[in-house]
Amino acid sequence: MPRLRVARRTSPPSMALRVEAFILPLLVVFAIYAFLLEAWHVSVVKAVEIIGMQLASGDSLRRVFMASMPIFFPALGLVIAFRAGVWNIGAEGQLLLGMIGATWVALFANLGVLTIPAMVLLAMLLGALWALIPGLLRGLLGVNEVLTTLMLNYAAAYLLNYLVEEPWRDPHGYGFIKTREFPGRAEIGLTGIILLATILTVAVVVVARYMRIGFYMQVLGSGFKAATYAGASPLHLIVASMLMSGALAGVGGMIVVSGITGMLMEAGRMSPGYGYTAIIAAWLAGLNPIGVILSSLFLGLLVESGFALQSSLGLNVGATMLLEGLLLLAAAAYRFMEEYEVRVEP
Amino acid sequence: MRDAVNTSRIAVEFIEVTKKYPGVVANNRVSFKVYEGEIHGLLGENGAGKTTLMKILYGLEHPDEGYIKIYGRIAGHRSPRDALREGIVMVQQYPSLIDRLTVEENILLELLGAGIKLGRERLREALRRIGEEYGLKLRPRAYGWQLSMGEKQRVELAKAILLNARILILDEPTTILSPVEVESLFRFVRRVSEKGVTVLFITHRLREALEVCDRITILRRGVVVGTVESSEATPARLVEMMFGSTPPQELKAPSTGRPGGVVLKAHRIWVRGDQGAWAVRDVSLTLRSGEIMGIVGVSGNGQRELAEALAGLRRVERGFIEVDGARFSRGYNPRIALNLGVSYIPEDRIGVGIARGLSVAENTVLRDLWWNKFVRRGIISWGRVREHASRIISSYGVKAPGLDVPVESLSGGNIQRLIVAREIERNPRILVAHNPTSGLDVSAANKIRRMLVEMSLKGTGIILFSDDLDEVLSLSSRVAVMYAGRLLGPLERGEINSRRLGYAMASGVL
Amino acid sequence: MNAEAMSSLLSYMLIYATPIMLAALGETLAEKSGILNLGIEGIMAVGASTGFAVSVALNSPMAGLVAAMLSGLALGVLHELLVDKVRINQIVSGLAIAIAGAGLADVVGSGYVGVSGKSLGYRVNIGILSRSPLTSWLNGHSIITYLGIILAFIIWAALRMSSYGLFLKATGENPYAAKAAGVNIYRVRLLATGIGGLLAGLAGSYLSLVVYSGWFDNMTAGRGWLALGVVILGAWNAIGVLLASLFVGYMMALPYVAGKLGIHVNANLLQSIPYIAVVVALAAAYMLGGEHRLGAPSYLGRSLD
Repeated sequence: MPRLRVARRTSPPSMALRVEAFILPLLVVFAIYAFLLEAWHVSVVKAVEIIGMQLASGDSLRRVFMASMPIFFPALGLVIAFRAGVWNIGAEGQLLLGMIGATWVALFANLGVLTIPAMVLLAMLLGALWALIPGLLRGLLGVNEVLTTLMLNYAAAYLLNYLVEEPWRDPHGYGFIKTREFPGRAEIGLTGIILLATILTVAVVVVARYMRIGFYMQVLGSGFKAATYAGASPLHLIVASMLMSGALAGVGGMIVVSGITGMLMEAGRMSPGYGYTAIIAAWLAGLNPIGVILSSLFLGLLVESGFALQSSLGLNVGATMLLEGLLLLAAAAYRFMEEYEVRVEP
Repeated sequence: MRDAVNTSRIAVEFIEVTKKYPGVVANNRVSFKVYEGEIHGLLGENGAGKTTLMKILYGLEHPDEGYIKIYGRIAGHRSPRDALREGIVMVQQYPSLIDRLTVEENILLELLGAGIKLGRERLREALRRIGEEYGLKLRPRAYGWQLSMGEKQRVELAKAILLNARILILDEPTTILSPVEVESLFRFVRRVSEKGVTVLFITHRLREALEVCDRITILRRGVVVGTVESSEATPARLVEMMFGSTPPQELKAPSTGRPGGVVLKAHRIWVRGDQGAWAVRDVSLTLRSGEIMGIVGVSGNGQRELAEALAGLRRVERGFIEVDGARFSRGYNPRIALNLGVSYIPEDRIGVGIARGLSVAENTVLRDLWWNKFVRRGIISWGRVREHASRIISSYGVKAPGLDVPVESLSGGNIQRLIVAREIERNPRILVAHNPTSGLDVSAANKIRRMLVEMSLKGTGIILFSDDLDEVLSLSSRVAVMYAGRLLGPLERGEINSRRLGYAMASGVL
Repeated sequence: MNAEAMSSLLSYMLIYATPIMLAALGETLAEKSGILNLGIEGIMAVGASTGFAVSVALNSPMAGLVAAMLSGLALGVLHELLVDKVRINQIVSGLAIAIAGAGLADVVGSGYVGVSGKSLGYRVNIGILSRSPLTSWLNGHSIITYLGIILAFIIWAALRMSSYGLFLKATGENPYAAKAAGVNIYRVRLLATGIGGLLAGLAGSYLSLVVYSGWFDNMTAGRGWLALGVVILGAWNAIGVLLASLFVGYMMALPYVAGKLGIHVNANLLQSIPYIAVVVALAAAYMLGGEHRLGAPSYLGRSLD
């Protein structure tokens, strides 16, 4: 009987093979997904049409872009953390804290033209602080950061819900659980977002590629001992990577309140899991900060299409999450195909 | 010879056993006999081929030529499991139990693997009996992680009894034991031999070999030098057999410049090993600028831990280290060491010396981005880094398909060259080098040796840890010996010769 | 605190602890074999929605329960295959299952939001327990709760005394030694992770078939992640896991009796307590011992080569 044998590649794969390794898992994932859609009596042709429609008009393109930004900023931060081997799964919570920070500035501080910058800064600060907790626990005590960051996602959601339900609730909200609508000075426009994205992308590229700290974070990612030998402090690197990724996740939250909703509502209505989608964006981009631009736009398209599919074809938005999970597997399978070869032995 | 030895029955016979590895002949036509019930010592320095030979007997390695007879029958076993069927059991130098299983469970697991089914109750009973009969103190319910190395070894010995070993191989069993434990191990060994078990005792320690073995076979560079009866052997004779009877090699170091002031000092330092036990005990040393100080010893006697402590990678628990007049009893770390001009070539090149995921170019500056040479206003100049990297690659002969390929794709020898180059290129004041030429071909090794000498002439103080006695003798102005965590010496020029060092390495007495 | 409030607090504790206990016990098995399954949250959600959907469709909660367990088993097995055959990093594969599972659960359950279903029933009533307020909280729960507690003791004993337990532990501690001893380590990992998934699926169906008798989005609300924390807090020991899940269950029950206890704080703040408590407890546990001392299997999370 022929057997499949998996072995580590002895030589680095060629470019053609890498492209193949990238495309193949994606094709498999889309095939599985298409099969599932048909199984749920959703026409794949129609679904593709609807996804295509998202790209058809300026208005819908704008929506896709807006949906991708709360994925993009956290993903940018996760690239830093994941390269350092720090498993920050808490972008969602850090993003919610960013919303809280930005909302506070928008509602309670009258800073005129400085409102937007102040919102960004406070969002970054709160996001970073929320990430600092698991960072310190990991760095000082070795507490597994996967679980602590996840726990704090839930804690953040409840904290945010409390704020919109009680102290920050709009008394004239007709029973809706939400804050007042933001004043005009607190609403970021497309230009502002693009500017912010450009600045932060450049900053991340510079830090990751051209600064000591980024270099040593990558060393840490390839081994604790090597980082120590190189003269770096793993504690500092872990904490720094957490702070950076937390701050960038916070920016994602700021974009949501300031650019999309213009007010704060309950966590479930503010984020369809941007922070989790960001994990997938980071992986799909191969932990490359520039690649994250593309992967976020792609995922933004899927998220927007998901809403459209729900309203037009009655497909639950959960289907988008399902697809995201499969995409994460595809991204991981790419790594496998890069590193291993599968041979058929008679 | 003791009564236990039954000279009329040959338990093991090696016949013209040859084993070659690329570049080395580990065993060259090895032949000798071991009697039933004998405690047979296998003596030789590092790399003499003792362990390879025993691995062949245990089925872990297969001879290229020759064969082994067990009780007169040609042994056909190809794996440890087959070996077990022949009654051959080997106790490794560092016995490894599964930490989170109890002693009982560890034993049960291996017995099951050997096809022996025993209930827990019966096992406990058996262990009690073995404990009494052979004087092995055991704690069947303790977990692996709670045991000292000595206790783990006792578990392995008890296991050997339960597996009905006829031929018991002990690989350097005393390196992990305290003196008291050594005594009880010897009692155990004598006891099992009285029951007809044949013991092969690998060691590099003369006193022990003479004390416990009936006969001793000496290996040198893979060849049997001879087999002697312990009662007729003397330490001097054994050393001669181990290291050769050629005139003792004198120190032939080039006259290093004038040794200058003290650059590195360790004062009565104690350092722990990975297992938490003391690996470096009360070591003091002084290094002057412009000298090369060699430290030799059988590997595993604390050299790695001492080197790491000097480079800041391992905490010094007691005592202090002084670099260039700055004294550290704590808080010394690799970064400080680097800033004070301490370079370090680690023994473990893959695990410590490189960042595996990074490229060749990045690894050439792994420890050098702390200064402004490659970093301007906080920004790394990759142009400069690449220049540096390509210069290193060409002048040190690192064979790499490019600067941007992952460093992991290089061969071991090329990785070693890269590390040595990186650490030397920094022009350090102090260099701690651990086996800097291992795995390199002769010309590359000689090139690195010449560089070390040149560095010392320019004033760098070098501590050279090496398993290669000849290398140390040809480079060092002073040589110390590490034995069981302690530093013996150093000996000055004129006092040093290979025979004396060999004796110290094997006996712990200088 | 009056006896009645205390009794209802403890009763709620058992209800909240049950799904966490089941999932955590299953995950303990998987982790003992060396496989970290971060997908528990998603598997639980799939179990909950599948269980409810099948229960309604076949008008049989028992069939729903079985379907939930089977779906959990399938996802557990999938994780093991992705990890051991496709060699995907355990964390990534687990996260993918967690995310995809949550999505799948929503899709499967989308037609059932607001539908009220039959409850599983099988409540255990032991007369003696109900007589005293000291024990009455123990009485009247679903049989699943009691089975979970019994299961904890069975797993504890099996890990300590049986040779299967020995094989499982050996596989997670040192797969190569286990292999050398003749253990089929891949089969052990497959079984352990599969059973782990099965129990997570069961835990999910407890929510949809016993507690809520219905389905709504985000029903699991992080219970799967809490279960993963509980495995650590319980120090990879079945009895420890039982106690740790009772601790978390207690924390989750607090908001629901807060009113009776005279505490009037926003429910959201109260509901965040278990998550914060687990973070604090994890910090304390690591401060006391560190992962290895706590009992993390040595090969946990590492891929076999």
